[in-house]
Amino acid sequence: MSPLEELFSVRRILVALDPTVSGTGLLDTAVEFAHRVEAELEGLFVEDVELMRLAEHPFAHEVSLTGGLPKPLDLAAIERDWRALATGVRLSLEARAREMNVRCSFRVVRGRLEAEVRAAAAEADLVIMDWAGAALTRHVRLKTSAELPVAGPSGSVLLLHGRPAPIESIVVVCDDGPATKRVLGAAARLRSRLRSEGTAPRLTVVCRGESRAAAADSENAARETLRDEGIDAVFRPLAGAGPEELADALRTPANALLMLPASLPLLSTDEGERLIADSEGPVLLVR
Amino acid sequence: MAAISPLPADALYRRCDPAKFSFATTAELEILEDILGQARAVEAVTFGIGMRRQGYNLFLLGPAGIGKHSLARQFLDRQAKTEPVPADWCYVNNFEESGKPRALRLPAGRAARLRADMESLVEELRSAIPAAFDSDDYRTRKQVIEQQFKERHEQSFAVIQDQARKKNVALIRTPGGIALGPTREGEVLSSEEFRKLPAPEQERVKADMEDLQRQLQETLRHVPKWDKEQREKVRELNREVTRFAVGHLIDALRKDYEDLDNVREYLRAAEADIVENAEDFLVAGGGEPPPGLPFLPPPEAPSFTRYEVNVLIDNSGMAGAPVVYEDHPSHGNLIGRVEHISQFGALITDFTLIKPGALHRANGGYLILDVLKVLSQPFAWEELKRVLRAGEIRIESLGQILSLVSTVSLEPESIPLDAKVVLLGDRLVYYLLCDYDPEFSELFKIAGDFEEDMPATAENLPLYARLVGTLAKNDKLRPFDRGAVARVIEQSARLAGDAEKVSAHILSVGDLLREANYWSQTNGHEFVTAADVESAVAAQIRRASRVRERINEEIRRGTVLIDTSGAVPGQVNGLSVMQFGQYAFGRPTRITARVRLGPGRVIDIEREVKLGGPIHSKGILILTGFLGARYAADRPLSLSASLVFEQSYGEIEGDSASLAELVALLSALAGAPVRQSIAVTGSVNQFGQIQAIGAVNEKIEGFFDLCRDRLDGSHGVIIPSANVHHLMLRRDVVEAAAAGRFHVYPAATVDEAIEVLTGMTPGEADSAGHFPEGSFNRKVEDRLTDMAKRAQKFSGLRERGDREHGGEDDTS
Repeated sequence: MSPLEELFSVRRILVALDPTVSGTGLLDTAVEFAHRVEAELEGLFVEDVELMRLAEHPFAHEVSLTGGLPKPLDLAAIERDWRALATGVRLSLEARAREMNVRCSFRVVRGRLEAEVRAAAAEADLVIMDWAGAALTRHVRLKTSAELPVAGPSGSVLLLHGRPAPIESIVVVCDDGPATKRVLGAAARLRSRLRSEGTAPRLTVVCRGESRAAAADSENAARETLRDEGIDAVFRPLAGAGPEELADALRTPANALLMLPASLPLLSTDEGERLIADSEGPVLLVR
Repeated sequence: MAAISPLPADALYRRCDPAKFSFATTAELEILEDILGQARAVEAVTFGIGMRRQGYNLFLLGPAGIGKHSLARQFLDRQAKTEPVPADWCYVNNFEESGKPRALRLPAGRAARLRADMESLVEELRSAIPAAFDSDDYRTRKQVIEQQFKERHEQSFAVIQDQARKKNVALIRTPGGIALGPTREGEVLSSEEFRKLPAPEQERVKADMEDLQRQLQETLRHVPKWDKEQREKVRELNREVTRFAVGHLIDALRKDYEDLDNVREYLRAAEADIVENAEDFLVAGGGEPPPGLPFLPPPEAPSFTRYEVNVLIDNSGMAGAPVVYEDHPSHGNLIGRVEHISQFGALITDFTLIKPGALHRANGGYLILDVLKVLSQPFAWEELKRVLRAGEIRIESLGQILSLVSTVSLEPESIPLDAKVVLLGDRLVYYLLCDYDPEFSELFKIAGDFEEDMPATAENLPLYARLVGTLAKNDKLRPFDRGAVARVIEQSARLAGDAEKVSAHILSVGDLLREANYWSQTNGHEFVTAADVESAVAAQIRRASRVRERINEEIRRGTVLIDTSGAVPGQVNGLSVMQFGQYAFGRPTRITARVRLGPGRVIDIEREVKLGGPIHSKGILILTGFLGARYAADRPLSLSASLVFEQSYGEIEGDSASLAELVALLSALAGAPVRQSIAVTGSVNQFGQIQAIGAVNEKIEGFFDLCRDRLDGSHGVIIPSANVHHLMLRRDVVEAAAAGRFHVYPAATVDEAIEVLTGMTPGEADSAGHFPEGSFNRKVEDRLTDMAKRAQKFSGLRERGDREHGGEDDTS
């Protein structure tokens, strides 16, 4: 591993699941990623305590997302469903981890989703989550869960949109923030691993700056960093782009991995949320 | 009546004089283009080919090897060259109903081009469509659509989410939906906390939740509709983009085929299908197996098979109408079939797996079939008739026809048939079909009946020599010198069984030529000579003679009793013919007769034990009629006679031994010994005339072979005089006859035969019907008269005895 690659050192990965996520694609990707970066994997299944509390109310109802019809909330049935789901997830995770020779553990916790994920993420270098989790519809998410990946974990976050397609290109965003080098390190490490597996993803580096000069500086720094590693890349300077323009520039297809520094101001805007929501491929937020 | 004389040697074999031929070898002769000796069949074929009407198919009948196939092929090839090249046929996908592929008719050579054009089109589309969908314009327009719908979703749910926040109601995802619950400072209230709220507050929260729930329900109800609308808009955009990418490519094709309505219609349907299924062109192949099914192979790239063109018949490069011979006319080989491929244990198929049959290949031309092969293949005959009747080829599997399988298969569009079918078969099959299949005569109106031989006239023999030369050239044999040709003609006459004819059995003549060529090579001759032909004939006989030699050996050893010297009353050497495969030979058989007083019956022992066939029995009844009419016209025939083929253990058929049987019976009656050195063959009628029989040469040679080692001038065979022109005897027989050591007697009447066999004068009846004293016939007459008197005497004694004992007449 080169010095640059060592900047993205991942020893422990947390894959966070809640009962609304189907999980198979997420687990597979998590195990593969752990295998690629030689990390240990922890599965976390959160039973939402708020839902339990809600189910105690005699008037509590749930509205089906598929039929739109209300039905009374049944606490016993919810707990039964959770147990079955958790067992299924655990068995899948263990089986896939055994296949890929990845060390893994799995635990079920009961609490508030954000709080439990945040707590578990504190000990992880990378959290892998499914963006589809907690979605109201294909286009609308519950606000709380949308904030989680950006504001929650202290480490990096890999966000998926269902089962990802094979990665054919990597798009990296660089600016003058502190995480830029780590983003490049992550790109270098992943690219190197994919090359050893027989694929050679294209690397595009979007160099953002408030001004043309700042963008050029950013590009030069990235060029230099990658040249030292002997990595070819395409550089796209992007000067003075507002959130909307930047979001449009970074929209990627399903076979592209988008890598962003978590400190990117864009991410705290609606456009940032939309960028993540609209990306067809996985998004890695690097801290 | 003068005694008959033996035939001179030159009457036993009609020699073909090589001096008649002006050529030295057949290499000098021109190829014989015409069909020799088959004028009737040629006329029928010519007429059949010319009659372009339904049902005027041909049946060429004659024995195997007569040259039916060659004639058909030769005539049809010649005719086909003058006819236009028929259209190409191909099957294409039916985009509206894929189970019923469409048949396209194209001018010759254009089906393959259409196939290539469609392949190129698909190849171009595989890059043109992704390029169109990869454009910024498309992406922007798609994003606009998605954004519109996303905003609609967001706006609808934002209202609910805002109201929920304001009214302290939480929206929480459950595994199956969304639950609503009361909150305070972002925390969901427990039921205990909720109960602590004032009652009005509780009611208000409940009412708020119900209201939000209703709104949520209402909004969620719209979601599928919005999704559908969005999908439809994206699909419409996709159609537009695809149409733009595809249109000019299809237009170019359409221009190439603007003269063909059916192809233009097909291209229109293909274009519509491409537009509807543009996403297939966007998907790359490969990938992972479906989740949970690791044993499955990765999903393949989308198949573009439906745009392929299955060229069933490609007539490019043809120079006329096709002439097809199908030597394995099974049901599938005739009408084509739909093949299947196995995929995960299931059999699947599509229009590209439609295979043509012989009828497709012959469409617009001619199809030659062996009728026996067609009849022996299950349902092939029925299907052939159905196709000819309907005038179209419909591909159906036997399973479908018999309703044995109910799986989904293809129903390819029928293809109109314009072909003439030529069946080849023997006469028996033709007549059986005429009698038992009412459709046959309607569908095969033209019969080409082949001759088995032709007259050996001065005009025909030079042509026959050219036929020999042509067969030799076609088979790349050495040239035949004229002596060899003459010998071939002689052997051909022997094959015809007639000294005045030559065989038209091309296969047998061809075999003789090839074998003579072999001997020529073995003997180191530059040309095939008469000696080589002789060697071939001798070798043919030698190869087939095992049974004949064993029989003769057993006769010589006395196991089978045949006398060839001396004279015995009531015993005659008859001659029968045995056939093993293609080889027939004569076999001497002892025929004996015994007589006694009786009720006028001649018992045919062969018939009694059911070893005699009907024609043989008929011969016995005829000779009984002759006996009664000639010798006992005015008195009862009071004898009981038995006739038998001694040491015969198989079935006997035919009447060629009836002369021998009659002579044996008369000899037994007259007590006149019969010469055992003379064998007899011939059939008799009720007037004592001797009639022609078959295989006369084989029969004479059969007796000659038995006597060969003891020929002393007394041996010979009596044959019907009507058979003299059939004689083409072996060289050794002819030489023995020329040397006076063996004789062939032509007899026209029983009396002539009797004179040769007994040495007695037969005697002619006077006006009262009585024969002269001392003659053979008088002895027979006297014996029968004596038997009649004795029978009368016995009859009188019995009547008297009856009266004395019973006193009543027995009228029963």
